[in-house]
Amino acid sequence: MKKIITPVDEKTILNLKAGDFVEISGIIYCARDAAHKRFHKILKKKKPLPFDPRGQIIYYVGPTPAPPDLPVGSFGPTTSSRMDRYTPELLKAGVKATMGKGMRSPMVKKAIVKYRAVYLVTYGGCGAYLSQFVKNLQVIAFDDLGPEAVYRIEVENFPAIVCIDSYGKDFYECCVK
Amino acid sequence: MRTVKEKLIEEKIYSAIGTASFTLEPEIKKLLQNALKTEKNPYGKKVLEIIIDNIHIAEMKRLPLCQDTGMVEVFFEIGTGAMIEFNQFNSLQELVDSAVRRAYKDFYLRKSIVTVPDRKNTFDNTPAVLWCEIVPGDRINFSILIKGFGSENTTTLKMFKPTVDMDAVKKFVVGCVKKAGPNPCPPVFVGIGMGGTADKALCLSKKALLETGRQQRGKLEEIEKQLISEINALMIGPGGFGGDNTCLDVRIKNFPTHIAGFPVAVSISCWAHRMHRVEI
Repeated sequence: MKKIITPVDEKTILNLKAGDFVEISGIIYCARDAAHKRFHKILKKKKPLPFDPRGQIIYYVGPTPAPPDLPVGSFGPTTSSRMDRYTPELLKAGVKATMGKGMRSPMVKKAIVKYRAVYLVTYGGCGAYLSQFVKNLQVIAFDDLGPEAVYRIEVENFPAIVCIDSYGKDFYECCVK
Repeated sequence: MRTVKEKLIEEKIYSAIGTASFTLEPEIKKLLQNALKTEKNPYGKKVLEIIIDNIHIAEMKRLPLCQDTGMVEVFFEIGTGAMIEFNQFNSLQELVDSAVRRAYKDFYLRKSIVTVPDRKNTFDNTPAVLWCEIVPGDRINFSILIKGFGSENTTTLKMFKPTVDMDAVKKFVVGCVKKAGPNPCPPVFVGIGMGGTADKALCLSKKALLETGRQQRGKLEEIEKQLISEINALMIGPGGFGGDNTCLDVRIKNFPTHIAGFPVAVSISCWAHRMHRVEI
């Protein structure tokens, strides 16, 4: 089990290998389809993103609303490939890791190697389980998108698996015969 | 003629959404527990352990099993001897949408439905998708399916030539699961619709999904079982990290088709196969 503390430094990234189990602690930014489309427009205009992307992790998730007695709702990953077209420019801007579920495109893999980043996957469909590792949540941008808004969350020992490491090795490719 | 009040149906849909969002049917849970017993791949085993843990946590805390609380599909079977007494609602769609609106608010479910093409969130998860059949009897039965889009996006329809042999059709089905890979959250359930028109085949594939996990199988049992073993031989495994359990069940529903064609539709559900059947 390897620990990741955010913001992530390059030494931590280079130490991660495809197939490693990791636990993340610190701040994570959550964004999915509609938010990525807006990030793209912002970057195109050379304007600042709603958060400083350097060293950060973007988690592809749209959580359920928090019930009154819990800090957050169900918090599992969505399919990452829908964000593929927007990922290289975010890695270029300094994002060090993306997290979701499922495969990534060859273009994303290339960008992961080029910008020394990683792609993490976490447990699909296990939103209730994963909610235990999220301490709090704050909407920081695009409130009008509802569940697709950008959230800043604080996590403690959030579990994931390294899927594509900074050397370009893809765990899905080596495990599925 | 047996009369059923609109409010009763609305209430039953409301509670069915809650039941399906927080719990899985016993047959589905059993298939997942069996998968854990047979899984040899350490990653696959770990994923299945977390899945079982997730089911317990969702039940205990009444938290949605998955954050994608889906689009609601309701499949009605209304007996010819049954009558719905409408009062407040002007249509069956209105009745169902009222239940969806209340359930998604009261149970803290995610509102995932947007209008198209402008993609504005409706903020109450309406509208639901309805299918309605008029059947013999005086009952009003329905099944709800809470369909996440990680798996829905992998749905495939192929219009085969009428002369195609079954091996090619089987190969196509296995190929659909292979192509979907880790995306629809394996171990998956597969529903296949064969025959009819293109739209009929797709609808049948969803109805086939509603039968997964059930003890009783139809006439196509042999093909279903061959497909289960061929899909599991892909070794995609739980979460897509490799392993013996890629698919927990396959069901086929068929319907006669035209001499010029052979539509085949494949619908996949994630392991969190959220459905609930109600008989009124």
